[in-house]
Parts: sequence; structure tokens; C-alpha cells
Amino acid sequence: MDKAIEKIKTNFSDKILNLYKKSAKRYYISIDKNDLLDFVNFVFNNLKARYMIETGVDTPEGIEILYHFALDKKEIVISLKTLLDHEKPEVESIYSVVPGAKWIEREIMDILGVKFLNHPNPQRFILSDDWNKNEYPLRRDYEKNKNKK
Amino acid sequence: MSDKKNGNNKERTVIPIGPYHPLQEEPEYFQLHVEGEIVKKIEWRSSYNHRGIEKLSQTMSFDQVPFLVERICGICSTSHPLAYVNAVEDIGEIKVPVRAKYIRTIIAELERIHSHLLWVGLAGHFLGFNTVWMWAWKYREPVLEIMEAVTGNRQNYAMMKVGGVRRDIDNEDIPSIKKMLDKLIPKIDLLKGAVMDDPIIHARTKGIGVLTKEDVANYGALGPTSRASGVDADIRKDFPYAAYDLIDWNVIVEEEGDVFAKAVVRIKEMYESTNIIYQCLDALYKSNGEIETIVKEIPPGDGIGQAEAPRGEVFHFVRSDGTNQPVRHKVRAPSFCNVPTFEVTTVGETISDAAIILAAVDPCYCCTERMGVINSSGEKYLTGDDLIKLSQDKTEKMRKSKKENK
Repeated sequence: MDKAIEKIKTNFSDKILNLYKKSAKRYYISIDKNDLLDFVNFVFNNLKARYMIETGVDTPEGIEILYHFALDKKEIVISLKTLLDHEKPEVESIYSVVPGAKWIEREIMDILGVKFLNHPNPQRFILSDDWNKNEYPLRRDYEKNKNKK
Repeated sequence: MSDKKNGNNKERTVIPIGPYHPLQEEPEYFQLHVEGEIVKKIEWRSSYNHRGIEKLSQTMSFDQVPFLVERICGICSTSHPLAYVNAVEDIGEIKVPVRAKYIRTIIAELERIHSHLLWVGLAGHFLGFNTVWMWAWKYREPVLEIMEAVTGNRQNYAMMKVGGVRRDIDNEDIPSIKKMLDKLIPKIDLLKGAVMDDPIIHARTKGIGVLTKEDVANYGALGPTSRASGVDADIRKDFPYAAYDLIDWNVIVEEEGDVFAKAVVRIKEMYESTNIIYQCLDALYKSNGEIETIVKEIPPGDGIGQAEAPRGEVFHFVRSDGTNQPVRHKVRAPSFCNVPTFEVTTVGETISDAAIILAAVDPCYCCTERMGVINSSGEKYLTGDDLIKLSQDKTEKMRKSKKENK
């Protein structure tokens, strides 16, 4: 296992819910949303990983946010996975650690209705201003709800 | 729309740039907050032309998606399919035949040359060097001809498929492709001379819009934008895909971080690309055989695909649940990470330099048709052409003063 992954393991031994190696270059680490900033801070500032992007996925279990980080010289991508509740999808914004995350979080807010706490500018980014409130195009129930109207 | 800043009497004017312009495939909107000539703040709003590709992709089969993602961008129309097939091959751990790897590399590098040529031309136009513009676009033509010879299309090549490529390159055609490339190199020399030896271009671009290493990390800037700031990062070297680990080539890095350095990186990369293509063409003679692995089904799981587009890393995340459609397909184009760097590069610069700084990261957003300067009474209005004119006038002024000093 890579040294960087070992470091994460020793630092957050009790906080890792699941660590999974998908293929030679891809690691997925499931974490609790309350530990998110600690993890991001460690991966971004200590391991000096490059912030790639965040992905939001609506799954039957809840809304999953994946934070992708690349360790370019070590040829690995670490994805931190956190699961949010469908009823109240809220998570801390990582803007305070990674300034470049501001925009993608606005995008996820638009398409999945996730609330990013302490975001500096939680305005609409990709949806038009007259888009219906509480209608999120990438939610699983979007088509179903749309047909109801 | 102007507000007085506390403690100083300078009026702040908000200049909206965008959102629509027929020349760009990505309508975007920027708000420049300026005091006099100096940019103080910039805000970005995107997705005026959001086509719901990610959503559409979830309604298509794994085989159909490459044709869809190819249409995300007209210029880097092979980077997206390449990143996508890399992602799906990551899910299924699919091995690709060597010949297909070389063909993928050739297409990707040809695309890089034509994209960089296009950028050099546009940058020249913004600075008032319309000769460079005409040259660059004229000499981009042979690249498109090679593309047509190899793939049948000038754009949207439809070459990538999960497990390999869709068309083979005939070994008999290789000498003629090489001949076309041979002719291209002197043209790149010509452009290199026109850009790198011109004192006015130096004056207009050196020290302008500097992006520091620290900001590259903070914003996750990619591709030539980061490599011009001394960051030695290239997906082709760091996460080798296609045939990039089978051949010998160099990552181009410049230290200065200004507009000039970004131009130098792109020009040098064109030489490196031709070098890569020559090597791949030679390798094709030795690696005859299959061009695809037959893929019957994609197992459930997550896959991440990367590809170094002309503008930086393209990132695709694909989740499969074992059916023949992706359940989630996330696409991140390099401009998404490069455009936010405007927050640090344009602040403190003049409006006339803003145009070239915005163009320097080669966003799929370059010039603007509609641009209004709204002062407190809302009377003054500048169009996009005026903005380009402002920039061109500045060059002209410098040119004149240079002549007078002689």
C-alpha cells in the first residue's frame, strides 16, 4: 500500500469508515461528514495533493459527495466519500481549505440541492434564476416529481 | 451599479462581460469591478449553455456515450471520449491493445497541435497582431487535413471506444502523414519567431497576469496554465494512459507564470507533440494486430478517467451498477479549474490587459461580443469589439513610442 495511504491510516485510524482500493491507482475512503474538514486539510495541506473536483451522486442510501484528490507524482487518486441524509443534505464547505472548491459546490447545490455550510457565496451557478425551487435535476426522483406537476 | 469605497473617492464601476458570443462554445459571464482602469474584483457565472450532458449520459449505453461527450467541445473533441473510455476501462480493468494505444496518442496529439495553433492565433488577434492570427489559422489547416486522412473527419473524429479505437491507420498511409507533418514544422518555426522574438509582444505579455505556484494549488489550475507557473504536472506523465509511457518525450515547464510564459509553453508543446506523433507512427509499423478488445459487459463499480486535453486535465467519473448505462457520469473540463484563477490574475491589472489575461488560460471563453460599461448614470456602453480595440490600441501606442525612441 502506498505511503500516503499509510499516513492517512495512522492519522485517522478510528475515523476511516471504509478504505477500498479499486484499481492500482484509485483509492476510495469513506468518512463521516463531521470529519470532512480534518481529512481534506490533511490530504490537501500535508500530503500536498492536487484538488481535482467534487462529484455529487444521488444514491438510494443518501446523497454521496466524493472529493477527488490526485497525488500526481505517486500516480494515485484518492476519493473521500461522504454520505448525506436525503432529508437534510448538509455538509461543511471545504472552501476554507481549498479556495478552488467554491464553484463546484455551487454547482452541486444547484443540481442536487445539497446545502454547503459556511460557503462564501451560495448563489445559483448553473441553473437559471427562474428555475423552480426545490427541483433538482440530478436527484433520483426528479423525473417522477416532474411528471406529477 | 457603482459604489463608493470607504475612505477613498474612487468610483467603482461594474463591467459585465458576456454571457453570449457566437465565437465561443461556452457562453460565460464575468463581472469586472474596476476603479478607473484598474480591475479590483472579478466574479464568474457559468453554464448559460448548459446542455445537460451528464444527465443525458445516464440515458445512454456505455457504447453511445463517447459520441455524446465528443460533442462537449468542438476543439478538444477527442479528450473527452478518451477520458471517458479511460474511466470505463478503469471500472472493468480492461486492457487495450498496443496498436490502439498508439492510435489514441496520435489523435490526441494532433488535436493538441491544432488547438494550440488556434490559441496562438486568437491571442495574436487580441493583441492586435492580426498577421499572426491569419498565419496560425492557415497553418492549422494541414493538421485538420491529417485528421481527415486518418479519421475521415476534420472534427468529432469518433475514434475512441471502450476497449480500443474504432478505425485503424493503414501502414501504407503513414509516409504521407509524415510528409504533411514535415511541412508543418517550418510553419511552427515561423509562428515561434513571430511571437517569441517580437519586442512588443514581450512588452504586452511579460509580467502580466502572473499566476503563482501557490495559486495553482489553491485553484487546482491545470495544463499549460499550471506548467507556465513552474508546476511540473502533466497527466500524460503522471497518470500515463494511451501510449505516453511507451515513448520518449518531455514535459514543458516555464517558471514565470505570466501571459508570455503561457504562450511559450504552448508553442514548445507543439514541437513536443510532433515528436510524439513521429514516434507513434514509427511504432505502428512494429505493432500490427488488434485495435480493440471486445468488451461484453461493464461490471458494477466506480471509475475515474483522466486525459491531458490541450487546456489541461479532463476528468471523468463514471459509476456503473452492472446495467448497460452509467448511473452517474461526472465531467470536469479543465477550464472549470483554470477560469477561477482570473480571481487572482486580473486583479490589479488594467482593463486593456484583462482581455489577454482572460485569453491566456485558453478558456473555451475568449472574446466577448456584448460588453457594457455601466457607470452611475448608465450611459456609457462598450461592446466586445471596443474591448478588443482597447487592447489593440495599447499595442499600437507601444509600437509607436518604440519607434520614436529609436
